[in-house]
Amino acid sequence: MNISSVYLKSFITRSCGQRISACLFTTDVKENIEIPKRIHRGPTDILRALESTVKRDYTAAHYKYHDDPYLIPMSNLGKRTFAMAQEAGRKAAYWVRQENADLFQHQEADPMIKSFAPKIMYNESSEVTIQDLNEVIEKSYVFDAVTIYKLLKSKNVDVPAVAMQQLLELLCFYNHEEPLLEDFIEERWFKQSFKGKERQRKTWKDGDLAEEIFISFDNPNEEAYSAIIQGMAKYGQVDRSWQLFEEALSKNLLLSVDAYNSIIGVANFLKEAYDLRWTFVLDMLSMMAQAKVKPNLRTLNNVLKTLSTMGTSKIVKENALKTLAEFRAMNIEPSLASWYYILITFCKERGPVSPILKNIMNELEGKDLQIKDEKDTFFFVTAMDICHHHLHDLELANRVNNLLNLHNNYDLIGDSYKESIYYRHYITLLCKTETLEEFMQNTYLKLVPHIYVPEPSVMLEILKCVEANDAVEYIPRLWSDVIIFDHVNRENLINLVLNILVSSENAESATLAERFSTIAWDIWNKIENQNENKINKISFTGEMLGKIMTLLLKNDDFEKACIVMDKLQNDQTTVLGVSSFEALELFVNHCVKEKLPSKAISCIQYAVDSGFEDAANLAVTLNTSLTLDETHLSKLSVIVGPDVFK
Amino acid sequence: MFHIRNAIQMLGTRVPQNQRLIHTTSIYQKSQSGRYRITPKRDFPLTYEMANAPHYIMQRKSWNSWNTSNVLGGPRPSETAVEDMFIRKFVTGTWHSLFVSEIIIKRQHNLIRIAGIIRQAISARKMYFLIGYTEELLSFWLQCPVKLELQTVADKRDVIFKYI
Amino acid sequence: MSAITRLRGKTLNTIKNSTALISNRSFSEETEFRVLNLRTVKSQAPVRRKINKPDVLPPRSNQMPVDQDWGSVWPGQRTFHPATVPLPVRQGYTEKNAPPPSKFGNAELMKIPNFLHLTPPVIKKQCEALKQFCTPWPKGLETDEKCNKHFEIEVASSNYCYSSPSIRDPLARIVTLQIKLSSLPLDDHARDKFRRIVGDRYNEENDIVTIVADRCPLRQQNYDYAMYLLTAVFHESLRFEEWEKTKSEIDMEFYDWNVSKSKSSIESIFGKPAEEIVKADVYSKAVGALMNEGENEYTLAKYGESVREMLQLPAL
Repeated sequence: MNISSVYLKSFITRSCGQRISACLFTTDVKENIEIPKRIHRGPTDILRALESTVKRDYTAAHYKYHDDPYLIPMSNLGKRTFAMAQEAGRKAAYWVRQENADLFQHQEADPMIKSFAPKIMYNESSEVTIQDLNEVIEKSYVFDAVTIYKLLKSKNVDVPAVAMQQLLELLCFYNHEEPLLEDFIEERWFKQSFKGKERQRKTWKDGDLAEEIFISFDNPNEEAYSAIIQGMAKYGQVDRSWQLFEEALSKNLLLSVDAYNSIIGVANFLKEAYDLRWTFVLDMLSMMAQAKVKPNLRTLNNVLKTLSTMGTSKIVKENALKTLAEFRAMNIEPSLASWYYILITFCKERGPVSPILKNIMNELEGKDLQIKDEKDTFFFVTAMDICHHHLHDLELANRVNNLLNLHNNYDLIGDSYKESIYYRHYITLLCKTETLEEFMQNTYLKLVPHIYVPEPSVMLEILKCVEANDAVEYIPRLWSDVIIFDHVNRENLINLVLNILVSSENAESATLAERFSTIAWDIWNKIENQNENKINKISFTGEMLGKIMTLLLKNDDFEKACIVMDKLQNDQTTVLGVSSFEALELFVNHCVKEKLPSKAISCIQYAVDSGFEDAANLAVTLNTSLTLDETHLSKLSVIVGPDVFK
Repeated sequence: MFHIRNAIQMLGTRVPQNQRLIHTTSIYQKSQSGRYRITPKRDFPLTYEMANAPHYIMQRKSWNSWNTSNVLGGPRPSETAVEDMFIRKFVTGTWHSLFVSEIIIKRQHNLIRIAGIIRQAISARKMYFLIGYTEELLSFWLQCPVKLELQTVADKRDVIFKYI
Repeated sequence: MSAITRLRGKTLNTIKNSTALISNRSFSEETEFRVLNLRTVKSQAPVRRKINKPDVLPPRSNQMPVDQDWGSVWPGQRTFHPATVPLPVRQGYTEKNAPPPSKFGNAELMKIPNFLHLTPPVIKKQCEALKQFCTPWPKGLETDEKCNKHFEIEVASSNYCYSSPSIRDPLARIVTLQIKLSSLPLDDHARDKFRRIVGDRYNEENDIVTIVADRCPLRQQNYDYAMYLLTAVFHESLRFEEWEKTKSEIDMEFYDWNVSKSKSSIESIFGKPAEEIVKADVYSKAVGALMNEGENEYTLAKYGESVREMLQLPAL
């Protein structure tokens, strides 16, 4: 930066002049010098150590967002669009670089940083070698690998068997689809993982290059078999994968442990009945034992996964525990995915309540967790779901949450979708079990909105809680959140807020009445000034308007109340239902106070039109408290009938 | 030079030999860049940066580029200057009429941080797109990580220091 | 002439414009009386679509609790942002006693490098976190003297951190090696020879030999080269070559009166060995001083005095 930050580091090392002095010197007293060993550290260890001193700042948004009031996202939609927009910008830059690759060939940085340079493109006319093939396979560029392979074939270049095998593995792993670039974190984060559902249907590309390569082997070896079996099993081509599996066994080939794992993983597609499925899994395991293939964590997870699809019977649970114990005995520690399968096996929606999560938490508490299986990310969201719906246990939920926030365990939350479901369960549970004050102070004000934005359903839950406790002091904050989170188009939320405000018993103090009236007027404005083109517009109901009017009148905002009254009267066709009689009564009273009989009369007109039987009483009150002139009197008598005043 | 010599020669022919005359003009080196003229209506807006002439740099205002290229023995002085110019042109063009301050470029090691004040004239979503695009493309070009550090203001009048 | 034609051209243009206007209008308002309008009428500015500005949040510094952990809010170096820094700072020069511009929309504050990420508590915390990588100071090397005693050779090289995409700097290759001459086991001859070989790399004031190696492109190579030089010089100075016997007076590193021409001259003048000459020791010292320390008022005066004394001449 400036002169002061031109760091000129001098390293001064002292070395013992042994080479020279040892032969000539006779050191009189050999002093004992102990130089401690250098503590080994990786290239990023210092940064990690410094990072460990930084905690989450609850007033700030995630650091991927720009820290500026205008650019901080406040709703779930904002979080998503902003992050994705930024990534779209990055993608545009990638595109520009790729389109003008010849301009980006300069070398500014020294040493060269490869990821700043454009990707090498291959087409029909490029000159390729085996080395290029190896390189793109290394970087897992699936399309490039296919292009280069085809080019090599067309030029009759012999591709060595190792490269062929690697290419086959690449194609089987990605199913001929280009994986998303590693740089696009946000897309991955916001992409809802339908992995579970995708599995159901077959996506394997039949007869594509992978199979061609496999066929082109004269006598496919066990590695080739393993690769294609895994690929087919992964992408739903279950029958053929099983067929190849049997073929390989009949040839006495030693398949890899992963091939066995994938076959176990698709057991529920191969065998329909639960008992057959289990015997199939057992058969597989004994086959592995015979072939002296050592099972690993994936074997455990796939066995548990199969068990989790086998209903609620007691034997299933026993088997699951037995499996766990047996793998333990083989020194295979379960990962989070194993616990996830255990949870969904034990805690079925219609099954009996099982406290197994407590035992799992005893096991996991305080651990620094690492990802070992793809499904590891499902654990936390499922555990919180079980805390909420299955066990309804606040203490356990807090333990799960503490584990999540320990060390780097938050990395295992998965994606944005899982994260928000996790918090939906957590917040709802807290809101239901804790006292409202504790909840608001310790949780709501901390987590909302930067870590979690409550969905309308959660907001409703919180508002219900507020209603039950008559804790109107939180309403201003909650209402502003409702606006910020863009939930204003939810009619049930608005109704609930109005209900709470109207029925509140604490509302007598002047300051609160004023704030309530502001909120009421805010609601009025939000609904009245909706965008013309909006799709889900919400419309007033008479009840809503009555409540708004009541709140306004409580704060003596007579003019605004008049506007609301006009709306009630004039738009009877669009406004559904009628206002409550109490609201009308209040309005008439205020008319009396303001000495505006004409307004009162029109209100009485509305009351009569709406079919309130007590409307006549209103007319009487008006008549007694104000001295009405002839025209007003005649109008009144037309409305309520002449015999009322007698 | 020529003029002076001609003048002397011409004079030499007319005046007696014992006189020497030399004709000089006043120096024409008025500094004008970075200075603004007062308008008749006194309604020309100036930011703080514009209100202080270049000779106030380091006294009332500071530099817009911060790097080590111009310290004694610093590397790549010319390249840095050209790159800074490129960044400024690129950013003003990409963020069309959004920047209401100068573009401040600070370099630390191989990190380039671009700071500035922008108007809230386009939606935040579009701004994020531009942020992503600018950061990524500039880092491809300059082969350094580039970071934007922006501040938004509601109106361009928010950065006006005075009117002249 | 030309000016007039230009003017006419201009009016013609205007007329053309206005007729076009008239004809346009005549389409819509046929019944109205047509007005010849020579000046083009400014069309009304189109009504601008009102842009709904989204609500902007208040600065988040408002929500910050007073006892927050500032290190988490501002963890790294960053440009100043008014909504994040809860301090009422101002910067800028104003005339006429006006207050300096506030922090909002102030580009000056964004320019200057700030140290908000390095507050004393943060530095303390970071030091604590980095302690795990530190080893204790070696035992037995508590003082500088001990360091110097046990590690005679000092090797220095520099790393340069500039703000540029390259981490290379040609100056980083230079290696400087320093050693105290007295720490080497040398006798008189070897010391003399060593000093002759290293030349002006030896500093007489602090007895330190400095070898700077910069001829190789890499630091490691330069280091090896410097070590090689030291070794070579050391061993060379220990060796006694045949030709060193031919060392004559002018080759001497200092003036030694005992083997000098001056001694033989006074011996021939007095006709007896120098030891027997009265006051010859004073004279020899004076000549030695004159030759070794150089001519100055004091040595010259001393020299004169001693000559007079030796020749038994009266003092001035």
